[in-house]
Amino acid sequence: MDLYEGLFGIGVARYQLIFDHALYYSNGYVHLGLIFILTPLLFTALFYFVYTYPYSKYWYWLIALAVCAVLVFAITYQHTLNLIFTNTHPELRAAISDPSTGYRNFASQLVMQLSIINIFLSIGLFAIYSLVFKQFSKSQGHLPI
Amino acid sequence: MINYRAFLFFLIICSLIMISSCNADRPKPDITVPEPEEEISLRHVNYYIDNSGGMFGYVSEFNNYISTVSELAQKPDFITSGVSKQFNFINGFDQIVITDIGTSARYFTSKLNPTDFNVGNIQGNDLNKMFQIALENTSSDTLTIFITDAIYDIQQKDDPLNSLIVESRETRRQFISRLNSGDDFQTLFIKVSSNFSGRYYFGRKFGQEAIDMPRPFYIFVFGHSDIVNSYFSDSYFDRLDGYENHFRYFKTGEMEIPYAVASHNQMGDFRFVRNDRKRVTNATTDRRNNFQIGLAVDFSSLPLSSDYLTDLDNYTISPSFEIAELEPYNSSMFLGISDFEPSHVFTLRSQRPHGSQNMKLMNNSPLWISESHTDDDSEIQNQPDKTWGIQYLIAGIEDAYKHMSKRNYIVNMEIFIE
Repeated sequence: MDLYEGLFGIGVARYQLIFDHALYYSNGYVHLGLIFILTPLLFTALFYFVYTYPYSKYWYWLIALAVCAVLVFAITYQHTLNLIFTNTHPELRAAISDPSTGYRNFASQLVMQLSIINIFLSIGLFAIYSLVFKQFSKSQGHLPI
Repeated sequence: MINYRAFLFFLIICSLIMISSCNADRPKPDITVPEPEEEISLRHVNYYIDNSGGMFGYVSEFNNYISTVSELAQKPDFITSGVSKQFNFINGFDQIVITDIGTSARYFTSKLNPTDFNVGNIQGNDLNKMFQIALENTSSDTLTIFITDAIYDIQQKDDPLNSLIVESRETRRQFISRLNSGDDFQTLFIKVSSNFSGRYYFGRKFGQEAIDMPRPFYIFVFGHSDIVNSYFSDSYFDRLDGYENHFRYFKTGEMEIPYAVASHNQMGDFRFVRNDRKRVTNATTDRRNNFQIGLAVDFSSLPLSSDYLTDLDNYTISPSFEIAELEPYNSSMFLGISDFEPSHVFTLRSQRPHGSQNMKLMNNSPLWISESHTDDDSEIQNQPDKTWGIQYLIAGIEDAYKHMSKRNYIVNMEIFIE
């Protein structure tokens, strides 16, 4: 929560219902955190320990990173969309279904915003995991640097 | 070649992270449900009807006075609750005379005519002694209804204003004595207008004048706040023919009401603090140096009329803020407040939105009381809605309640803006 609302400043008081009921009280922030932590973890693990081709080039690692980033974006986008638009909190549902509140537009922007934030976070973690896992990898120990 | 040991290590780490994060939804803020207090029920109602000479004009024909007094005598709530009643006429100056009219509402209403009114000592009425009797006969399970024209019978006509002040202080003393008994005690004050056809006795000077015109009369209801609020809710007053206004006096003790900051009519920016909806952080003004924040409050537990609550003159607020708007709550405001249902939403405005801010609902007499007052009734025919000296009488009651209250405001709402 502090990461998204505090560091990235996504909290907007005017649309507090989304942040409270779709993201905070229903553990939405935890889910988003798991997506950007576990997806690059899985990808780097596969890249360093399962993929055993020993002559990989630098851009092989970049492709893995890009695929991971696209996947993080897709999962975050779809999951956040579900968290907000299928939320059962009656006041939030009413606010989203009333176009005059601006909730629907804001929610759409927020979904995109959170997905992009998660991309950057997962890229950073992908790099960190890579630097750690390369120490233990027998085939990709030379990547990324 | 797969490094199985490292991959196993990776799977263990992943599992630990997932297990630790897959807990239940976060607990939402607790909704504290207060324990129900001991129920106080009404068992008896005393009626005291001022039948001094100045009241005869109200009973000379069928009018709002007779209709209203009859309605009160046969109030449906009293009948369904099986409440016992005692009807009395009351008058007299040096010696108060109480005429027992019995317990039958029907018999009592049949007595509302000039002939049957002419009992006891109709030469005068000492309001303060009448108050004393009415107050002494009110208890936690007993209501007292006192109906009068509320004109002090001043004997020293050469300096009437001084006499009014003296009478007002005596009224204050009577109420302080009663309030000092400690129990919750409310005074409901209702203004009703009726046609008056008879002799009007001047308050400011000696003498009388025959008039046929609308005149106000007043209903005082004394009793435990819960009972008065229950049997005399604001919606009931429409059933009183000629009803004009009302006000409730009660001790402002430890009253707390739920309130929370909200983004309604927001200008500038701020962040809510979860689990502390009285605080916001990161408050900044907009490009035009304006800051607005909503304050949702639940006034439903206060025994105050909607008119009083929506009159912004009854509020004080920290100097750096002003009340820009006050609206009744509706669900389309989408305030996101889950632990109470607001009744009203304030919009507070400032250009320096930082620090602790207080807004107080003050304990003021409503404007209509001073507008009902006259200190010169010589030309009473031109003052059909005025009562001589009423402001002094009410000031006595109000001062007593203020003196016996722990603070001069009804509720204080404090918010923190950082």
